Amino acid sequence: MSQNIATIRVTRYRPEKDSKPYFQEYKVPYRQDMVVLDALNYIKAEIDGSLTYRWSCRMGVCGSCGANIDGEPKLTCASFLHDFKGRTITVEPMANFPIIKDLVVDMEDFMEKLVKIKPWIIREKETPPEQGEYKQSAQELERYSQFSSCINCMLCYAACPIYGLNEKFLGPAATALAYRYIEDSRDQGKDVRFPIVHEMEGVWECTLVGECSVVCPKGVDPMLAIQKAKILGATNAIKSLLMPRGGR
Amino acid sequence: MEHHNHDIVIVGGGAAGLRAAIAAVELDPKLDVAIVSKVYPMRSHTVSAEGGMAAVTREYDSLDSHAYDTIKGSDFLADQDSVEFFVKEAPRESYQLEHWGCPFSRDPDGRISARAFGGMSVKRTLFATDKIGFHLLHTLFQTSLKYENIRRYDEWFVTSLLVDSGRVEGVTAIEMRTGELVTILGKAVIIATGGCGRIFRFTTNGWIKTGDGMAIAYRAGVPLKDMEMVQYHPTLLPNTGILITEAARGEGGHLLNKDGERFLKRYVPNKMELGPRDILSRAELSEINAGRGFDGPYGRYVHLDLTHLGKDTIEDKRPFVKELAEKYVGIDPEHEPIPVRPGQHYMMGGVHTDLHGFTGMPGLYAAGEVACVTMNGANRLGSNSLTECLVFGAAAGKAAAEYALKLNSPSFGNPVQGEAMMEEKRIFDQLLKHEQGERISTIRTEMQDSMDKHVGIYRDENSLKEGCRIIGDLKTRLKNGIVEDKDHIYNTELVAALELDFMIAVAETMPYSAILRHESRGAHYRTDYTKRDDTNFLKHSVAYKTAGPPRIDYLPVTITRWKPEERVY
Amino acid sequence: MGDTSRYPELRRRLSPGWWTANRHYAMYMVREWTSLFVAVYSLIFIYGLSLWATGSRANFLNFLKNPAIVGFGLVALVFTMYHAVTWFYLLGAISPIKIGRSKTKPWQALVLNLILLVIVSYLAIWLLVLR
Repeated sequence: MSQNIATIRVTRYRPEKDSKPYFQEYKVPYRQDMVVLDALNYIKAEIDGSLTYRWSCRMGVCGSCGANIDGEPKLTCASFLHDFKGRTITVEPMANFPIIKDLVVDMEDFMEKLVKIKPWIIREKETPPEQGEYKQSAQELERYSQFSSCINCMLCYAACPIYGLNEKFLGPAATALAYRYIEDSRDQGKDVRFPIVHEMEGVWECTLVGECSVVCPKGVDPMLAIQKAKILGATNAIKSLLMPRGGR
Repeated sequence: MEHHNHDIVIVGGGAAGLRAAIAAVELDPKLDVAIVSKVYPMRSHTVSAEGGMAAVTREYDSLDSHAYDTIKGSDFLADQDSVEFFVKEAPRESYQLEHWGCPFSRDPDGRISARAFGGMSVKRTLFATDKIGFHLLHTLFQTSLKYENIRRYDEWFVTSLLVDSGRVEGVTAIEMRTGELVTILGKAVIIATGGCGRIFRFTTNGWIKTGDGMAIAYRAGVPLKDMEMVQYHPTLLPNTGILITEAARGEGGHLLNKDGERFLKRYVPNKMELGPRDILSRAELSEINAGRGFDGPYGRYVHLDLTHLGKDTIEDKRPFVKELAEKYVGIDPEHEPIPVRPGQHYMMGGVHTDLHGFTGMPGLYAAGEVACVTMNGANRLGSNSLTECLVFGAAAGKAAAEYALKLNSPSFGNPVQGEAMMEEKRIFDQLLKHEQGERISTIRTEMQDSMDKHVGIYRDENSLKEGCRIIGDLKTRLKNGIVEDKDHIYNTELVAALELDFMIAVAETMPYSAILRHESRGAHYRTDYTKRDDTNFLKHSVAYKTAGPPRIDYLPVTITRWKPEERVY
Repeated sequence: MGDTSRYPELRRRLSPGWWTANRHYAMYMVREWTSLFVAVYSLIFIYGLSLWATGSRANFLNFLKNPAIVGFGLVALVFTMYHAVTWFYLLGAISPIKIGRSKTKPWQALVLNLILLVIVSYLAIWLLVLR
């Protein structure tokens, strides 16, 4: 009998009622191919309509449903119940973010960082679209395509203790996106982005914990992007020392 | 009540909404454009589109060919002037997207690659591996961040349109963070909220596709057109409804029944797996009903076989398909076929607009899946929808901008203020305060089950009558729905109740439109009227809101150069 | 709109024991602690070199032979080897070298750098001690 029940421990925090968060346990019927999101939806529909969380696509591409599940940052729509030990699973809001309510966290800091790195193609001269596409080879595409896969789920920020200690740290996803544009052969905005990426709270705060790349559900490998950006920054600094006017 | 003022208010932050915003500020950088979205824009359902976006980019292709494919695909219900406009603008929009940074897959000569797609006579679908929707949305969103005059209201839920003397003046919206109802005034409003797939139980659509924009326009008096035209996509994973892209068939996947037969040779012998979605969905269901499907814990299904394609093709061109199959059904498509069955995917019908996105109500525009221009008619070809969002998003943005430049700002006086106050009462004093009643989730599940059953792939007089009856019944029951969560801050259950309210209003138009269409055309298939009837039904059904059930009227189809003919593939 | 002072939200502090939460974090902290051993060893070594500068090589070598110094050196060696191995692997992951169509793998960088480490170490030992 108990084989078919799972226990979900969820963080509850209602700002209008509670002074601090607490755990609430729910029992859900268990099915082999259930994901944590299915369990949350069941609870909200059948047991407790006030349980609050974000979700949309349920297929791991919109990035809404990040949470800390049994201590690890994961997408609830991509976390199968059968992957967890035992039948009790703890679901908490993503670490390192302020909580708005239950599992919903405040994303505004990340949204500001997104704007800060200027994530758009910067060019000196644009040719009109009527003349066709900017040509790009498969090799040129490969230089940045991995870093363009970020779904903005922010699990990497939840995993990064540096961000947990210092909110000003630019962080994995934002740096990976900045690097994606730097490496895009169509972009000419290196000079604009380098100062942002290479400031004190930019890449230099990173001490290679590496957990961001471990938790990334899309294989973006933001840690790699940060280190590559560091190399670019270092070589750029040396070049500008040696060739103050000509260096690029 | 708090109120804000903008030149243009765009409801919805997906492909069409973002494209419209960019088009408006590019027309005049002084315009103040607001995007109001109930989710952060990168969560919009555009993100899940996989296959590609169609446009004429090659010398072997022509605008006439793209137009003809689209019109034939629509079973001749498409308005041909809209289609001609669409195919003409599509190439420019594609290159513009590329200029904005979209990481398209490339040919050896550096040009954007094109693949084959269902119903398209040549390879014209541009793609970015198999995540075009994701890349398109993020490219548009990130580009929109460039413009300071595009202000965003992220996680604000729009509840109604404010109308004064037949002219749109703005919207009321709940700010999720505080739970307050706020008025956002605009000289023009563009609705870009997407479709309403969550009206159905088995759908590819995400949770947010609840027909909000269709409902608020409908309630303001704008008709919903061709609502009986619901697209079913042939390849969904059983149970979850997760989409397996048409590109899997475009690259050579095969559909097999229980006997290992490529059964499509009996339905679409020329195009086979690249036939249009409506015919393929019906073919699969026929095979299943004839006992040639597989049985599974979540119902019957057929097989999508990619095993003959080889490791490189799958991992290079369809890595997302492999990832989804492995994760959600535990199958490696390189070695085993994927179980698939047809399910709801897209709404051809929607808010009635012309080819500039204008709805007929001064100040109100619509673009994207929410709109029915219509270029998709009775059946949409795959990979036309993303291009549609760009072309008509840009058109609506420009039209709204030109309109707004001629006007003064609306003021927050009566009657608009009165309307807003009444809306506040409706939500917070009535809906939120119910102490006894029925759970929202119960009513919602019954609606979804009924729509799947009675307004499904195969329809007849009885099933549609039953659909009408049940939806009317649910409309009444919803008046006693309760919301358990009484908080103001971030109340997702209140939002779910309001969304259900929208869904039922929109859902009602479907069986009522369908029951009066005594023919089968495109995605609308009636077992009691199996033939297409151009004499009586070459027209669009339009549904108007009344105090009771919707009133159905008709509008003519615009025919320019292509005479309706028999639709064979 | 973005002004969080208007409504309540709960800010949480990272607890001091954050690194005990999983194995990756713990191994990261160990790698960070190796810097302590490197620092202390460097000071010891500089002191030893100063004995050679002010006296003779014999003073330096006798200092190094002190059992406490040897003991500490062995512990420091373990920690710095751990740091070296993880560092070489990371270098391989961050900057792979392209050979034709394929890229070098991290373990290849690790092996190559370990070989270089052995060669350089031998040279150092020969210069300071054996010659």
